[in-house]
Amino acid sequence: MVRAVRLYAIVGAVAVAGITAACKDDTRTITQTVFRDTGRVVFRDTGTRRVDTVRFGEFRIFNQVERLGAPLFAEVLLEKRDHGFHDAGVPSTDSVNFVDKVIKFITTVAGRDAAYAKTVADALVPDMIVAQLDKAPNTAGYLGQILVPATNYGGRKLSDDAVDLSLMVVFGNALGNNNNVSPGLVMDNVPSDSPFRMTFPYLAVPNTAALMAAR
Amino acid sequence: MKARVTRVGRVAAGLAAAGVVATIAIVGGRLVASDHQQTVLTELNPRMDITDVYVFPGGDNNASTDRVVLAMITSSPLTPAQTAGARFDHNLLYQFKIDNSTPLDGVEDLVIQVTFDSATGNSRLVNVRGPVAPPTRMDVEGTPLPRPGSASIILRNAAIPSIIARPTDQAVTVTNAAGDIRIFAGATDDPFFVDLEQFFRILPDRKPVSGPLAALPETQNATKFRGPAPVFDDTRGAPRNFVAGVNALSIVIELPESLLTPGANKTIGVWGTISR
Repeated sequence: MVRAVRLYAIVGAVAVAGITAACKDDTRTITQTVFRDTGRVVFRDTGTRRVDTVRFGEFRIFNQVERLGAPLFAEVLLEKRDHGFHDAGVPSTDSVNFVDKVIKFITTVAGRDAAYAKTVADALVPDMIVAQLDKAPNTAGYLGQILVPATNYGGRKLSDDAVDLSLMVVFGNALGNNNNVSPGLVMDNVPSDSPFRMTFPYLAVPNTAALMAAR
Repeated sequence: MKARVTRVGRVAAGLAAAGVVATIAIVGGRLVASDHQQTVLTELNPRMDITDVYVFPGGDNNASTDRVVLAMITSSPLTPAQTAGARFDHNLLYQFKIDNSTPLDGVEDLVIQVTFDSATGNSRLVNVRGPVAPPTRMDVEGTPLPRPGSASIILRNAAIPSIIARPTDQAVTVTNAAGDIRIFAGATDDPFFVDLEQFFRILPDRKPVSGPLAALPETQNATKFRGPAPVFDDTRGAPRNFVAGVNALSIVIELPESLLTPGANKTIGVWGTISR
């Protein structure tokens, strides 16, 4: 089922010009050559020369058009007109750029008090998925490092109901405040439909027409 | 499996009862979720769209105490029919950014850069560079600019760890001095789940500009999620997961934790970016 996979690892220093690595699989040979003088990589695929847009050593400025850390941070807490601004930014300036907007959403749309809004903003800004890698793996789960910081791994698992967890923070009492909660907004009442795998790469295989018909 | 059939049947019946099937219930149409189609730009250019980022323990059953998985989900929604021909954009730079400072400060200390070549099928190459400190940016006179920034250059020092693997769509393992690095880049199920229709009824500002969900009202016309009465909205049928049966293009990298936390601090912050 799984075909032989050939791969080339350039690990550590490639000290000499023109280092060549070659490998073979059942159908073809690829040779990778790194030219140190130009930094250009040329792939030779059974004699066919292919030079790609993104080249090793090409000096090109890439401009960031998309950013995602915590699920639903921008989608729920920021107005759509701010999404592009958020996408092009970095977490280190989230506090300056977005804390006031998060607090405004929590106090107006969600109708919570200012102190709770500040608690939410402190928990979610800067916008990153935070994981405590030295905690037990079976404690992994979105927001766990905030809810039980002493023992929980946090991060975000594939099976986490990020929608419900986020709604519990914004409209419920997840961060410890029962003032003006909105019970009809703390969960969307849909479960995961994905049969995640227990081994790498963990995500479920792509859905097919046959799989869909079988449901 | 039986539970799923029952649930979907119930959802379909609910939608039919609510009379919204014709306008809303189109699997594989435009939709939005965690960060799906967050802007018009990413909605209309799905290869630029990161829909979710995950960080969780690696190893079989996710039980490893020294391996971590970073996953980036993009390009959703793909219908099953669209999935076979879907591939990552070789003009884009996909990156995982890692903050490992004490305390976390939102500044990228390490970066993993992922690019693709323009070939098709099994000859496709994926190139994963890092994790290493992000390249220093230069001003026009060659003076280094301070990190961080939203402008990126490709890591081009030949000494950095770089893995070039083919074909994509299959998991590959590379032996590193610190432990194996595993890479997958290809089509998967979209792991997210949400009742989008009701979400956009509650927050209409967030709805997409194209597809059936764009036709939802411009002003708020629900204040609760769908669910059993009385605490939820029981007037629009059963809740429905709009990401069910939808595919995506995903990048999954599993690596030793020590590559992300070389110091005493074992807490990291992670985010994903796409640049063009």
